[in-house]
Amino acid sequence: MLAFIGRRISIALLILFGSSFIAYNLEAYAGDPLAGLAESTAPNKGYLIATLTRELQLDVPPPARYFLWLKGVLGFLTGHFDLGMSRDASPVISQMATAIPVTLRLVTGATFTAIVLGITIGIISAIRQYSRLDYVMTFISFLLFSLPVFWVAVLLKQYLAIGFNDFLGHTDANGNPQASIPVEWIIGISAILGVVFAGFVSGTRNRVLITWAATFVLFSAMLFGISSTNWLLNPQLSIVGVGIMSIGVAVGLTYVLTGFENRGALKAGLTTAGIAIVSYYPFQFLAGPSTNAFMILGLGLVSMAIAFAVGWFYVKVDRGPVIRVSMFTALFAGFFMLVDRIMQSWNGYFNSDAINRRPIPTIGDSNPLLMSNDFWIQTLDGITHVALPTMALTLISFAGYVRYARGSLLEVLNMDYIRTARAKGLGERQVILRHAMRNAMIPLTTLIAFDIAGILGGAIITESVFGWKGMGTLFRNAIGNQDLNLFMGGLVLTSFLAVMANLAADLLYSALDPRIRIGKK
Amino acid sequence: MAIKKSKKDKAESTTVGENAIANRETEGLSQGQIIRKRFFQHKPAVFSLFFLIAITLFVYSASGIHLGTEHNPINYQGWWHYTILDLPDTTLCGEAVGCPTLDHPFGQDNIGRDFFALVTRGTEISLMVMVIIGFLGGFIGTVIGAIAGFFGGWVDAVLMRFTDFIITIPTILIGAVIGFRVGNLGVFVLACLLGVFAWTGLARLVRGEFLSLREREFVDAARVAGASNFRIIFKHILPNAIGVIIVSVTLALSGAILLETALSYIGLGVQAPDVSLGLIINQYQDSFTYSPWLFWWPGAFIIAIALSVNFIGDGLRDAFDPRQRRRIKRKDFVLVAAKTRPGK
Amino acid sequence: MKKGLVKSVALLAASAFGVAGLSMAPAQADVRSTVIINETTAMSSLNSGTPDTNLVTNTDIGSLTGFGFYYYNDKAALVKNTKFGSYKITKNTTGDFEVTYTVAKGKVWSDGTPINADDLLLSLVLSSSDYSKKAGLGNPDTDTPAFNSGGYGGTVDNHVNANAYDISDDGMSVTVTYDSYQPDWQVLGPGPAPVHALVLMAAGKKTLQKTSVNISAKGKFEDAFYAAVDTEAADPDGYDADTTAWAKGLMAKIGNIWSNKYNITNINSSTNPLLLISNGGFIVQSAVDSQSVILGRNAKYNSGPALATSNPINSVVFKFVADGAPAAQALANGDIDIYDGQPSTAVYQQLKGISGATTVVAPTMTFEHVDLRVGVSNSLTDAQAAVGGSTYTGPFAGNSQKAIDLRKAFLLALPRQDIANKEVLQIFDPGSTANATVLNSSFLLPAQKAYATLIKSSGIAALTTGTQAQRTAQALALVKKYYPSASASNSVVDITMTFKNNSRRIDENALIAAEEAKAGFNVSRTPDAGWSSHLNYNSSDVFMFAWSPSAIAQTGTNANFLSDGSNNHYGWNYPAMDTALHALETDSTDAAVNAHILAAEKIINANALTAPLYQWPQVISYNKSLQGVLPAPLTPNIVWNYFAWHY
Repeated sequence: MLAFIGRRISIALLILFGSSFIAYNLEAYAGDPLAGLAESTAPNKGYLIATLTRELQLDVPPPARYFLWLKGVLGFLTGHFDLGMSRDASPVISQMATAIPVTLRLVTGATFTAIVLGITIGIISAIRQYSRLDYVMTFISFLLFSLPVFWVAVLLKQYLAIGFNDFLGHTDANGNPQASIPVEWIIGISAILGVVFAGFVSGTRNRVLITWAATFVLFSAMLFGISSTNWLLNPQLSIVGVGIMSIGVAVGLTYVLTGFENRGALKAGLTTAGIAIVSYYPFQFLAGPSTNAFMILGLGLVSMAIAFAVGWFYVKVDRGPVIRVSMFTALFAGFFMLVDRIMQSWNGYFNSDAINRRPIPTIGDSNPLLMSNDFWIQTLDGITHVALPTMALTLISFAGYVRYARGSLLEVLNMDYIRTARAKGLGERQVILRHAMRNAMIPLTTLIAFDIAGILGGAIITESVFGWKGMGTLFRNAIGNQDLNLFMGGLVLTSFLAVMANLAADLLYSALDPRIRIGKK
Repeated sequence: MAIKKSKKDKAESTTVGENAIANRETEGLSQGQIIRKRFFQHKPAVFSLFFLIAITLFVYSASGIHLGTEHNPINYQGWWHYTILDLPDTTLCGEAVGCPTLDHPFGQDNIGRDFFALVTRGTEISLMVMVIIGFLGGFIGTVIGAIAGFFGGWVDAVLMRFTDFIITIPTILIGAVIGFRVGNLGVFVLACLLGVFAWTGLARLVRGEFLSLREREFVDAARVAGASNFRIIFKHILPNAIGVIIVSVTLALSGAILLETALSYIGLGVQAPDVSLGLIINQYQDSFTYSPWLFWWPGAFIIAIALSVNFIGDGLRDAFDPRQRRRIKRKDFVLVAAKTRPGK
Repeated sequence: MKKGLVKSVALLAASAFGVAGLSMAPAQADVRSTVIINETTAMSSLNSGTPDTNLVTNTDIGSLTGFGFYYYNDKAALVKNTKFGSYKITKNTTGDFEVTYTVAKGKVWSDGTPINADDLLLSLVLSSSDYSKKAGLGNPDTDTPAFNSGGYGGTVDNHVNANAYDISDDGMSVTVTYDSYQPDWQVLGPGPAPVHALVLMAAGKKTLQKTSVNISAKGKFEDAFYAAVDTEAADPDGYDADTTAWAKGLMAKIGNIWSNKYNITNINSSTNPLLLISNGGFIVQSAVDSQSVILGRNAKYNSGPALATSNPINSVVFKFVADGAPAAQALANGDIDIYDGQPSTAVYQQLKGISGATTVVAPTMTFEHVDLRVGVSNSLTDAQAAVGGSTYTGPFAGNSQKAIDLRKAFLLALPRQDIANKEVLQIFDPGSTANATVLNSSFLLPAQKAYATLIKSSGIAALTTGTQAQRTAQALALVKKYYPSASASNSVVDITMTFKNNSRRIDENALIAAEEAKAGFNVSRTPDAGWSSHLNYNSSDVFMFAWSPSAIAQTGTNANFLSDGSNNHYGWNYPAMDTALHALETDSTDAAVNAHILAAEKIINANALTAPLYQWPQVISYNKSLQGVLPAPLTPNIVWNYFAWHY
């Protein structure tokens, strides 16, 4: 095993050497580094050309220049690792150090949302194979899969940023801001949501219609409430909302994870929800404006510990599922509290000078004018900026996971051991969640390994349309400006990760599927 | 058997009597017949297939066939009365120019080019790019995967590391080199060069398939009967793996059209005077509010094509693999996905 | 069960949302005091003076934080900044030309340090390779000098030496000595630089210092400036080897700081404040790499026109957005206050449709033009010859009557008016039937006084009289003289055209190819991404791109047309033109200048070498409530009059 990994890593280094050499020469071959001066009429153009030629070592042929670059990279052996300077005279390493967190913020969220959403929908789709829902999901996922991302971005900006901001920014006759939703919108949105929910149920036409009508009425009422109280201008869940939703989650999780017959789990979940409600006001006190991420993380860990203890003490046998219910309930309850806390900052954020009542931006990754030290305002600013690009990326990429999750689960569902499981009388919930899902997820893990490794490659077009300066933009600029050092810096990182992901995928797969043995051909 | 009935059967098949139904459905049919039958039962796929054929015929007949080099063109003019080189006068309508009229059903762009001619010609070229990338990638991927999987050992190791090597070279770089150095050689060369780099996912997939198929009895039987390696690969194993290949090629096809669009966005795709849907959609992406016909039409065509291809792929997948049995090795099937959605 | 679950969740959600309680007090409508400007490239350095950092964004930010003796206004006219000081010619004899620059009293840097002549000295270090060599700072021609300045190799460098700057006794004036009259002397002068900050940083200081310390640091710089180029031969009394060695060491240290330390893109409270010292209306407060730069008011600013006082601008923010279309949507959404760019029709209409924004179109100095190859470029390299051939044998080769006629025919059939209408006017006014301004001179712009007279007699009239149809018919007649089979439907002369692969050029090429076909020319339609390195290719006959001058200079066009000019890629070689252009380098009267320009233009038109097309339009779209914004054709374009901005 170790020998196998060692061999693969040494081969990987050889591959990196070869591909960086080829890429360096291709990139040197792919543009004119002096193009920027072509239209200049500067009197000292000749001097500028000579200077750039000298600085960029253009008089050295690219294959030889590669080794000058490689010398800097291999410097890590002697502690002088050097990726060189970019063309605008800043070290490549520092540019990458700025770009990587930006990309992580943008692509990580989108990738994980896409994975969770895609797999969930894929599973539902597979369970209801050839149902209305399956067809609708298939159609939607193929449709989204077919959209060019910049095209999606234009539409999202037009409707979700400009349109929504205009909506939030309008005032009534007295000049007071108001956010009342037009009746036709309330009806339209509710009707569409009704269709979505009706799609989830199977059965007779009557049952579908009733579901639709119920959803329609509920959402209409809710939207009407939101509209008439100007909730969008001053949103909050309050202790009541957090409480009700936590209890709902506790009940729901118990159903999904253990079934209601497990009374211990239900009690544990509800107790955890109760503790969450009790800790609502203490949380408000602890989570003041000057809090920080570590504090929140600490609170999260404490609540996890409490939830674990609750699960542990409620039952004596088969504790696993109970503890899971309890901890997931705590996780969700904590999330609701966070959401509520962030919502409380909305009004201040929305009316601040920097935001000027236009909270959803179309470009950038933060508002430079927001001089607030309030942790929650900063968090909210991050969320509003990341919202649209994440949505665009998620929309175009979750469809892939839907297809693979569906295909994979369907394949597993047709296997003999599933038939055996059913034959021995297990409930459908257990068959799917306990038996089928686990095996169905094995191939998806390798796909996920690849996608996660690909995160740092950035999303060139998404970053570009939303004005984010991450790795994608870095690549694009490097290629556009013939910035060889910058380009190579990015390339070395991404190709290293790609090769490693490949190795990791092989290892992971053999770890998850004992039938596959590594190193044996 | 009525299609309706079989559909209902299928819906229930996850719970009861699968084998009975499967057997009843396929009794007395050859494999080809089964596949065809199953494919035609997949309504969205059939509809998509006809739709795609219709689009193809429509655009090729409308815009004609244009091949050859710039100074030696081979042109067969289609039935549409404008070409992309014509610059008819524009008419003003409200704030905008060139809105759709009877003469210009899709409108005109700002220097007067007929947008119907542009879109049909763009579709034509995008289809060509799609097919070249898809099939070239499919061919190379199949051959490399088949050889690696069949021979295993050091051949496999070398070919798979070569695949890793290709994966590490970013597509955007290939696009940049092509755009800068051979952009004037036209779309054909562009598509071929992209195709040469677009096979890695498929190669892994086919390799995995061959690794398991070569252990099967029928391969031993063929070998005992004295078949050469070449014959075993192409006559015996390949037909068994064809389902996987076709499915992933269709995925690669819709990936190719989006890849071309993405490259065009950063100015590295198809170059003028050729047009492609990617180039057009990119050029007029900002027309959304002002002249929306320039925004929606190319987008609609891209979506229509990509959607149809995906549905056809879905149908083929079901047809070749009626119950998602162990035909597709899951691990490898998934790996191909890493390459199927370019253009983030 | 599922339905029940869905129902209960929806119910829960509804009741949760229903509890929203607090009502909200209306926010007061404060007057805005921030201007957010969109830039396509990110700031890479606070110093735009090196060859690597000479980028638009850096220059724009620099123009808010520094004010010198002059600036260009919205008419591209040079305006003397009398607030800062004055300058005049103090001696003009053959072989001796002196200009004296005097800083007005009481001007201060943002840290309160008085500005005097010491602050002007750095300009010589940054532009004279003679100084750099003599002070041991490196030879800019062969290696990277200590001051890695982009100013070497220019006009100043050719006409001054290491001792050209002479400081007055009161320490407020610098006299610059050139070896001959410089027609563009106004723009060659020194600009202020906070030299005390450089000296302090060289001494390792990381905080602002007391004024007395700053003043003594300035003194040190002055001493070092002169001592570094002192020699025993030139100054037997004052020369001191130790002092000179010290001075050279200090200058080298300062050079390193000047070249590298300003290259910061993240600025916050831990940034060395000495790097941020400004004498402009604003001072850099903070910056986030690749995202934005925020500038606040410089409270001590007095070096230029006073800032507007009513509803003033308190901060200027540069946000970096690479693409035009996202920027337009960003303006619509209020993410930025000023959009500055070259939009397509659609983006322009989108900008115009933004109710809260004012949109203005103005010409820039950049102009589109078409060049015809006559012979082999004076800078053809072996590699280029290997691809494009070492000789030019195309239809336009040489100065035979046939070649001249064909070149004339090509220019006659060039639909210049149509291109200008479509690329300038109709972008902004799609239905317009008016004619856009076509540029008719390669030397002067329509806004310049002599332009109108020049174009009357320069010979360009051949390309402007009649309709395009008539001119194309004339062109066809000329082509038919040599290719009898040519007709409006039979293009027999193959022309290869080199142009960039952007939509503007592709559209122009489409228009040109369509019209030239009627004159018998078969023009290629393939754009070239690598056009900039293919200008010397002999395989191409016609070249279309833009010249983008950064200043209005009397000699600014010489490099394009001199037989050995660095921008003459087409083998244009006419002794009479060289004579006229060399004369421009020394002309001091308008009459002489105009006469020599006319002579050059006549040669250009008689030989049909090039045809200008139009000036690029720029579009400024800005927040309606922002006052005082005026587009300017020269760098720093939109921010040139930031002092007049207010809400």
